[in-house]
Amino acid sequence: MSKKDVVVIDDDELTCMLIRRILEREFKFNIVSFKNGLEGLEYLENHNPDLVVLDLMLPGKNGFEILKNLRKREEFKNTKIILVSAKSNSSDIERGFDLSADEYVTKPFQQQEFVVRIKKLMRAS
Amino acid sequence: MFGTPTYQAVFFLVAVLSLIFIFLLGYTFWTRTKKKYWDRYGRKFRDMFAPLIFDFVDSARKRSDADPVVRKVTRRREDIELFIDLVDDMAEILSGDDRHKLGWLIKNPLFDTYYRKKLTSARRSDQLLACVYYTKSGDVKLDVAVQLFDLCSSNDIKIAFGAAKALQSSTNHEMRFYALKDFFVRTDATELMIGELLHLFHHNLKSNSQPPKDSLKQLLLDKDILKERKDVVIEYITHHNLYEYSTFLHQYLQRILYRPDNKSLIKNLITAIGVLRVEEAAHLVRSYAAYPDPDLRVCCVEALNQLGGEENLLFITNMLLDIEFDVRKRIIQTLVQDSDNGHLLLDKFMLTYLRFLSKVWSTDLPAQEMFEIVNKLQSITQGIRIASANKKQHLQTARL
Repeated sequence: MSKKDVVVIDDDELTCMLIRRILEREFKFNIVSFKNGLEGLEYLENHNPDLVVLDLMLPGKNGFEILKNLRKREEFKNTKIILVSAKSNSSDIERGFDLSADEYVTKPFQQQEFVVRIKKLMRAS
Repeated sequence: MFGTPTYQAVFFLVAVLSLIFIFLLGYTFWTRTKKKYWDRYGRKFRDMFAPLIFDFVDSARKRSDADPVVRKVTRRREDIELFIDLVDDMAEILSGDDRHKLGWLIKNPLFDTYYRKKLTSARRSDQLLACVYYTKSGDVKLDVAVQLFDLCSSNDIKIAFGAAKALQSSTNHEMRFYALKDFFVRTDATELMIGELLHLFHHNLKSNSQPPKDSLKQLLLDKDILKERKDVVIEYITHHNLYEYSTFLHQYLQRILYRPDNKSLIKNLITAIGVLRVEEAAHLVRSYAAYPDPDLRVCCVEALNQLGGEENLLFITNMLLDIEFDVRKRIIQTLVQDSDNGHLLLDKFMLTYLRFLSKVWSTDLPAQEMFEIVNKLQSITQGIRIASANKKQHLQTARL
C-alpha cells in the first residue's frame, strides 16, 4: 500500500515539528510542510494530498481562506482537512466546521488525542 | 582665511558631527550583527534541543528522567534562558501529561539554584528574569516566596509586578491573595497590570478547591483598596459572567452612597447587574435612573433592558422624553432591537402623546413647553427611523 501524502501548513516552527513527528512516528506518512499560507496554497495547486493539517493564523493567507479555497475545488472533495489552532472560541470552531473542516484541534493538545483524531479521520476516508 | 575663528568653529563642528555619524553607523552595524548572531544561535539551539525535549516527553516516566536532558544545557546564561523559553513555548502546544512532564524540566534543581541567585542579585534585569522563571515554573518554595514578597514592595513597579505574578503561580492560596492585595493597594500600578494579576489569581483558584467567592468579595470590601481597582474587579466579574456574585453585587450596590467619586463604581455595578441578570436588583436600578447624571441613566437603561420583563421595558419607554439626547438614543436603540415588546411599547408611546398633543392643540393655544415636547417627539421619530434602518442593514449584512 502506498504511503499517504500530508501537507502541514503552520507558521509556528515547534507546532510544525511536533505534528511532523507525530505523523511520521504513528502513521509513516509522506509529509511536506509550509510556514506561509500562500506558499502552501501554491503547492496545493499542483498536488492533491490525503490530509491537510492547517493552522488558522497564518501569514499570507489565513487558514479559513485556504480551507474555503480548497473546498471549492472538486479534486479536494476527498481530502481530509484538520484545523489546528490556539483559537478556541466557539465561533471559530463553528466557522471551521461550517466551511467543511473534518476536524478542529485546539492548542494546547495531547499527542495521544491528536493521534486518535487522525486515526478516526483516516479510517473514515 | 583658514585661521579665522569662524572657519575654526565650522571645522570643529563638522569634525564632531562626522565622529558622531561614524559612531552611530558603527553602533547600528554592531547591534544588527549581534542580533543576527543571537537569532542564528537561538535557531540552532532550538533545532538541537526541541527533538531532545520531544523525545523526553514521549519516554519520561519519572522526574529524574529530566536530568540527562538538563545536563546537556551549558551553564551559560543565554543557554539557560533559551532552554526555559523553549520549554515554555512547548507548554503552549502540549497539554495534559505531556505538559506535566515539561514541568519536570523547568523545575529541575539546576535552574532553581541558578534563578534563586538571580533573585537576590542587585541587578534589576536579573531580578526580572528570576520573576519570569518562577512565574513559569510555579515552584515557589517558602524562602523564594519571602524574596518575592520583598520584591513586591519594590519602588520599581515592573519588578513588583513581576514578583506578584510569580507569587500567583504558587499553590498556596493565602500567599497568592496577599500578593494580590499588596499590589492592589499600590497607586502606581496600571489597570492592565491589575487586570492581568486578577485573572492569574482567579484562574489559578479554579484549578484548586479553594472557594473563589470570598477572595474577590474581600477585595471589594477592603477600605485600603482604591475605587479604580474595585472597578477592575467588578468589570472582571461582569466579563467572566461570575453569577455566584449576583447577590453580593446587589447588596454591595445597596450599601454604596451616590457621590461623584463613587459614580464609576455604581455604573460598573449597574452594568454587572444587567449582564448577570440580577432581577431582584431591578428596583434599585430603576431608582438610579432618576439621578441627574446622564451617563448613569444610560447605564440604567442598558441594565434594565438586559434584565427584561414588562415592568422594566415600560419604565424605559416612559423615560423616552428624557432631556438628554444620549439617553433617548439608547432607549430607542434598545426598544427597536426588541421586535415584539419594544416595537409595541414604542407604538403605544407615540400614539398616546400624539393623541394628547392633538387634544391640547384643538382646545387652546399651545404653551412653550408643548413645542419642546413636539420637538422631542420629532427627534424620537427620527431616531426610531434611523435605528430601524440600521437594524435592517445589520440583518442584511449578517445574512450575506
